[in-house]
Amino acid sequence: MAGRPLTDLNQKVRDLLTHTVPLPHGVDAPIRNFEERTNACFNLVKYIDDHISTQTVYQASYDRHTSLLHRMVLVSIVEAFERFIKETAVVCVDAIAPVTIDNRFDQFSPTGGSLAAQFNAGSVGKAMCESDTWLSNSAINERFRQVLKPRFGDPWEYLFPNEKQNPAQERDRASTLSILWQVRHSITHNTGVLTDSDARRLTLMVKTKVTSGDLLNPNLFDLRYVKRFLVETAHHTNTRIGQRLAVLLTERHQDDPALFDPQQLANSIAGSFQQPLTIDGRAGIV
Amino acid sequence: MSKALELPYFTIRADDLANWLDDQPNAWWTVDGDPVLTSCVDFPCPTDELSAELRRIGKSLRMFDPRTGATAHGDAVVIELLNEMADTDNNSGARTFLLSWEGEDIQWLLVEDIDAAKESA
Repeated sequence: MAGRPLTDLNQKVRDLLTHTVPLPHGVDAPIRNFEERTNACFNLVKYIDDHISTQTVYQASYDRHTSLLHRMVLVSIVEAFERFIKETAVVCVDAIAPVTIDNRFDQFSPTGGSLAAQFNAGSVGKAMCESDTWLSNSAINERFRQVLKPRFGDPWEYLFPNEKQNPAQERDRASTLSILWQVRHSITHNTGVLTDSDARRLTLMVKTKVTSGDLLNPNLFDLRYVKRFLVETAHHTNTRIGQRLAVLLTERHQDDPALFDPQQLANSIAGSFQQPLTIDGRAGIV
Repeated sequence: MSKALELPYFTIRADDLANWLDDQPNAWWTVDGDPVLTSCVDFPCPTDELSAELRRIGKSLRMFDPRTGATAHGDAVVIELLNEMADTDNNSGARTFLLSWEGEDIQWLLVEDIDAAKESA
């Protein structure tokens, strides 16, 4: 009997780190990166949907594989949004850290190890933001409220407010986003099975009974609408944060005009946010 | 090693492709593989969003011709023949074009999204 050949699996696992391809060069802006990632996720499903002949498949197997693929893609789209938030935070911290000394960064708690690991990144924002997870409205809120607050002032507004927080007009979007964080959790940690606690939380969020014990089975249109919701949310959030950052930097420059060159910084953040932003009267060029 | 398909190709200006798209206002489209367009547009999208972005970029493209016996080598495309060049060999019969930006190596797909168009109708 031939059986399985002896294989050095320890080495095989390490080998995968050498199997890489270069990233395509594009504009290095969080909102652009996010659009590209979510389109890539969706195109994976679309390509398979278009090109696997449904006449030649074993239908039950095909349905099972499609269901798993859709769950994986759904998680990837939500995690692309987390990545967008994290990259946006890095841009903010990198712009603000050199021109402020107060307690705004005390929300972050990078360990010595993570700081050392990021030392060569040349970015204080990466050192502070990369190692944390940004997978709940409350975590995102608290960090941005601090990072974007006025100098020695009160925290900035809630990015994704709950029903008792402001701005009130942002509550619906925040509520829907919190459902997606929970769906991501269910797929990532419970393979898509809605456990009792998942179902209970989701029931409270959507105010409709969500049955526990079932497996999430998103269809292609579910993915389209989740993607569209997150793209619109990302653009809206990108605008809010970019404009707030410009106001904050304007205040800093008016306090101390020698701190930085407003034109240079305006160009930098306009590029990062892909929108025209003005610092103390100097319009940034996208 | 390049995985680009070596096929006969026509040249088409972004504006001309945008105009052709605009003649089909109810269609929806997806772009698969172009880092430029996929970082700017939420796909699938209606025609007007894609044509506006193509005009903004404003460069020429290569449109590859998958038809047997094709011989083009950078000739200007005949817009009226675009539908004949479309590859429709897929589950929904969606028109699919293989393109690249002039001077770039990356080949990408422009794919009609029939389901999205039906959903939005």
